[in-house]
Amino acid sequence: MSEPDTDPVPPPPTTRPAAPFSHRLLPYDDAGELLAAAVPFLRGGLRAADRVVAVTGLATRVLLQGELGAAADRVEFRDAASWYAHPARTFASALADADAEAGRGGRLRLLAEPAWTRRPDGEVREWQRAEAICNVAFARTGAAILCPYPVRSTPPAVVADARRTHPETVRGERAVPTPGYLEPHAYNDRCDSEPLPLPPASADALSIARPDLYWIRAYVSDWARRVARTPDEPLQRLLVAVTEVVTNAERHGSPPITLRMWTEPGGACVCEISDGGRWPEESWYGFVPPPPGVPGRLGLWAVRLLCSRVDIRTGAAGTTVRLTVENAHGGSRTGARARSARADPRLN
Amino acid sequence: MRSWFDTRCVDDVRPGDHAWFPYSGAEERDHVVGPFVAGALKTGEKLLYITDAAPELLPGLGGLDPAPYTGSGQLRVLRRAESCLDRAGGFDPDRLSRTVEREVEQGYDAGFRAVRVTTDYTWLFDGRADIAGLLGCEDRLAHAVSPSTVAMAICQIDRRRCPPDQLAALAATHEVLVEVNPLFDDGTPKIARSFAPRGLRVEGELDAARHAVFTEHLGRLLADRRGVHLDCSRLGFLDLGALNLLARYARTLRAGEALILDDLPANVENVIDMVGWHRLPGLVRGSVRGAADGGATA
Repeated sequence: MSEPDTDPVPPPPTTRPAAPFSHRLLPYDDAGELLAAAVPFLRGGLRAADRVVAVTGLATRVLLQGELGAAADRVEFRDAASWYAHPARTFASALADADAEAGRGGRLRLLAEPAWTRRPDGEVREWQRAEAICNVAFARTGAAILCPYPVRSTPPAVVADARRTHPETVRGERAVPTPGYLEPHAYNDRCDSEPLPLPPASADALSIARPDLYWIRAYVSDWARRVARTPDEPLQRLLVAVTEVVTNAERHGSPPITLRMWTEPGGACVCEISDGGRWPEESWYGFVPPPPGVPGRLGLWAVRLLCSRVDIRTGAAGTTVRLTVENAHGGSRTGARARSARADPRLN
Repeated sequence: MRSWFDTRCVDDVRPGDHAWFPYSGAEERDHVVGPFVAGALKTGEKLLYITDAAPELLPGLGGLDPAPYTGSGQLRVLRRAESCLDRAGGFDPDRLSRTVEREVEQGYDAGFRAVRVTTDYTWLFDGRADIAGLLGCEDRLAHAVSPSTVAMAICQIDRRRCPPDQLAALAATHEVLVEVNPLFDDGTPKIARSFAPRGLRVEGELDAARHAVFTEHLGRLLADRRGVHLDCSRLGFLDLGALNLLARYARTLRAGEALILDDLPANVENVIDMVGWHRLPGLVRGSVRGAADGGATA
């Protein structure tokens, strides 16, 4: 299996970013250290007429507003807990905003305080992956991204990985190369070094000799409704995702294709498609949406938007794509967040 | 409101059907009346067409000379004056009923396996309409056609010229609503032309197995690079590949034109909302009829 074909549509003219891309880590111990770096970063953005967005918790927001004074009105503050709702969706909409600024000849300046560091391991892994892949995906936009990590209240392993995913670290007003920074592909491979947990023995398994998409959807629908009690709305998203992944497996993978379905404790419905093919190395596995101006490029990255979670492993033993949808509307951390994110796909 | 009558494409109209066909323009009319006429001539059935138009101008002849068919009695083109008007030139519903009954009987006696009847009532709505008389006539036609094993009728009317209440009253006197033959139908999906607004209706489920045929028909319709409407009211599933295809076609349209998706079922619309309309420039959410979920999700 490999990523979907690229279209015969020529790539859009690359917009020359107004400034070089940067993605910097700001590890801090106290408010003084945070403000010493974050305030010049934000003020610099306002001076340069960048679009300045600060994704923070309430405490940091109050600190920054106090320090910025009247200038704070020109900073778009976002609540970090809801902004970090869903790795693929947050990533895609932030990238769309950065692309939009670059398209106007401007720049997105983003202060992004991670609100996910104490969430379940699997989700933390996905946000860390986003931190790494951001170095590749946002480079075309010239965005400036600063990520303040409170060292004392963040799990040490998460701080250690932040040093692997940020090419530069801020010390006072200076930025220095981060020792131990890993090239994003290498980091991504590291994330995938652990195999996925095995499906439960009770999983429903179906071997597909000749994929008939209509029939497969009927089968998945029936199982999801009967066993997983998946409501229509998440079910339809799952069906679109399954159709896309099976279509890819049929076009680019090799038989046998196997479909497995089970439910997670808590009710999420999992649908796993595996085949005997292997994806090319250096794939981004649908983590990087295509640049603007190229319509009709929905593919694996859109599958990531539709599912609560997508896990992919590829190697000599074949390829496995595991699709998870929550029973709740929207499929992200909470339905309400998902709905507000849908109402306005922009950075809020 | 319409659930009690059948909707059939014109090729599926069969003896016993007293059908009506409210059309929205000449293009739509010819897409239905043409196959109805052509079907009769091709299969050895008699056709009675009540019209003041010349036989060679009937839709469905495709350049064919009507003379041999009129000569043999297979094609009967009767002028209104000789079939449904009284001496003063007014509409005579009674005479129309008698004409139809006589022609059906003669066709049967002549050995035609079926008799097709059609006429366009639109001229009755030019100000001197006797809608009560027409309704009575329709009732009588229904009684003549419905139990018949040989007769089938399509009553045409230009819906733009008929007041809504009278249109509803006319609808109530028919058991079958006729629509165009689908461009493609393998159970799922079904693709058909739609006319007001101009576009395609896609029913059922559309995925990679049928992208090619969908592309063929959409491409043909978009040859002039003008936007069209897609009637999605009976669409159950749309894959990402189909959205890509629509977005790519939308980009070929003239400036200001768009592909408009009407009556999207909630489930399908939700998927597009989630991948983002802003990522599909040229696709526009169209009217909402409060459509039911079109049998979505298989």
